[in-house]
Formats: sequence, structure tokens, C-alpha cells
Amino acid sequence: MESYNNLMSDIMDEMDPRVLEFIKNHVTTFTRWDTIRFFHENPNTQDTAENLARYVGRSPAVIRQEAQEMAEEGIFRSVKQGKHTVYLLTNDPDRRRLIANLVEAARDRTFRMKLVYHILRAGGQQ
Amino acid sequence: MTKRVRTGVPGLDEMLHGGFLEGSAVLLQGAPGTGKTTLGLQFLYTGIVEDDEPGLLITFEEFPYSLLRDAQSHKWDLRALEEANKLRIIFTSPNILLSSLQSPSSPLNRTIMNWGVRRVVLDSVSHFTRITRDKQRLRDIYTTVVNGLKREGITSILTSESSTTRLNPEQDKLSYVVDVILMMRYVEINSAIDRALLILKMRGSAHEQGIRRYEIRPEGVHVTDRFEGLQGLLTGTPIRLPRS
Repeated sequence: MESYNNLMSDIMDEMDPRVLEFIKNHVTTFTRWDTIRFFHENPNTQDTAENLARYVGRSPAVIRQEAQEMAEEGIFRSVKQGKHTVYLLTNDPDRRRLIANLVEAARDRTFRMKLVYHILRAGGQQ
Repeated sequence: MTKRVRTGVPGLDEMLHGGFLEGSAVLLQGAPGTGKTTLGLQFLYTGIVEDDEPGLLITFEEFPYSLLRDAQSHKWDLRALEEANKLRIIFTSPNILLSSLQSPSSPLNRTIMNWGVRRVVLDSVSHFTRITRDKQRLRDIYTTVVNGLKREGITSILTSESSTTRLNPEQDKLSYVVDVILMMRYVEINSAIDRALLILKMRGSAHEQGIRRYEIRPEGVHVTDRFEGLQGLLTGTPIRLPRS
């Protein structure tokens, strides 16, 4: 059974190592995946967690926490504007390119299965 | 003499006697599907490609990726312009835009300053009613938005949804603040839908008074000839005048 699990893990890890590392460290829930994908498609979004929750169809409470964590991890930027905290996609071109590679790769069904596997392994049911 | 800002819409610049006066705030009113966003994109695209004037499109409801796709159908490669830092499509909400305009260090203001943005399209001001329905507060909001753009000498188009020829109470507040009011609307002629465009107001400049027909062609909005021999176009169902 252990060798089967190891084999499975090896197959699921077969992808660009930088993308794999990004998934394992940052794409740990489906909410994160939806939010990252949203920002990739709409890269100049500037909005609050509450509005982001509306755009990706998720709970505001969950997005509030995830967006703040992703800002601390350098995926998003957070800017204090009056009474609002506004989130934007990182300006780092390398990170933007990595996200673009991930979203592009996820057009492939097999890759998506690998992504889902890693999110579930990370315990990110939501 | 104030510089004219060409819209790039064939026929419209002629109606405007050369274009908007630089720094004008333009209210572009029309029902859904009349081509307001297309005209706005054309205005930005022309500014960048023909006049080297960087532009911003601020959208509250339509996702940027769908705008990029729509623009592609007119062969306007907005993604390339974004990559060249000539265009930015900002997706935000009314209250965040408002606080951005009031904060000099906001990402929006930094983009305006750093890029030397000359043209802005805001799609659409109707969404400010999400913040308040209070008439005075709404007027204050419109003043903040228009002044925030005028301060930088930006020529702006503010789209607004309306299916009638009358300004609704919220937009009525805006009509005092803007310099130009353009109206795009559907008209029914001989059991078919046609499109009409007119200039209701243009501060500081003469302009054509007539109501012209326009089409949305693969290359964008194209204003053509005046409606002749018809009366009551603004009702949406004009009557044909008897031949003399």
C-alpha cells in the first residue's frame, strides 16, 4: 500500500517544480485557487475582501482570512484606503508569470486532477 | 485655444466639431446594448494608438477578461496595450473608486500620475446608487469623481444606463457636473430597430444639433447620416412626416 501511495505521489508531483512548490505552499484550498484564478483573469482588480467574495461566489469571512494570508505570502498586495483594506495582485513579474503558468497548465484535465489531489492532501476541502 | 480630444468614432468627431474639449467630463447615456462600452473602448483605443495618450478603463460590473474578448471582436488588441503600459482595465467597486480618488497615494492615483493618463472611461456611474440613494450625497459623489479626474486634466467618459430620453433623478444630479451629454438610443422605424445618437449638451463649444443614425460595425461605432423626414425620434417610435 505504501509503495502504491508513493507511486501515486510521484505521478501527482510530475509538473514544473516551481509550479508544484507554489501549489503546495499557496494553493492549499479551493477558495485560494478560485481567488488566484480570478486575479489572473482580471489582474488589475482593486477591491475589498467582501467584494472579492461576491465575484468568486465564496463566503466573505473565508475570503477575508484567505486574502489576508495570501497578502502576507506575497501573492496579493493589501493597501489601506480610508476605512477599507483593498487587495491587488502582486506586482512581482516572476510571481505573476508563475501564476499564469499555473492557470494555463490547469486548462488540461490531467493537470487539474493533480491540482485537486494536492489541495485535498493539504486538507483544503473548502 | 483648448485642445480637442478626438473620439475616433467616424461621424461623431464631426458632430463635436473636432472632438471633446480636453479635460471634459462626458456623460454617455443609453440603454443596455446600445454600444456605450464599445464607444468607450474605441475612445481609449484611438487615444493610445493614434494620439499616444494612455488610458484607463474603470469597470464596476463587467469583468475585464470579457471586455478584452469583446474588444478582440473589433480587432482591438487591448491585452497588448496593457502589456505596453498604455492601458489599464481596473475592476473595482464604487466605494473603492471613491476612496481611491480621494487618496493621493492610492494605486489608482499612482497609475494616473506615473503613466500620464489622459483618457478615462468609467463604466458605469449608475452603480454609484449602490452607495446611496440620497440625492445630495449622490451629487457630492459625482462631484468628487468628476473633479478627481478634471484635476489631472483627464478627458473622461462616464457611461450611464437609461432607456428613456429623460435623465432619471440620480443622473439629473450628474448632468450639472458634466460638460457634455451624449445619448445613444434605440428607435423603431418600419418595424425594425435602428440606433440614434445625439448631443444634448456641450459646454464651451458649438456642436451639431441633429439626431444621427449609427451602426456598430466590426471596426467599432460608426455614426452615419441624419434621420430625415421623421419626427419624435426621442420617443423611440417616430412618425413619418408627410412629404411636402
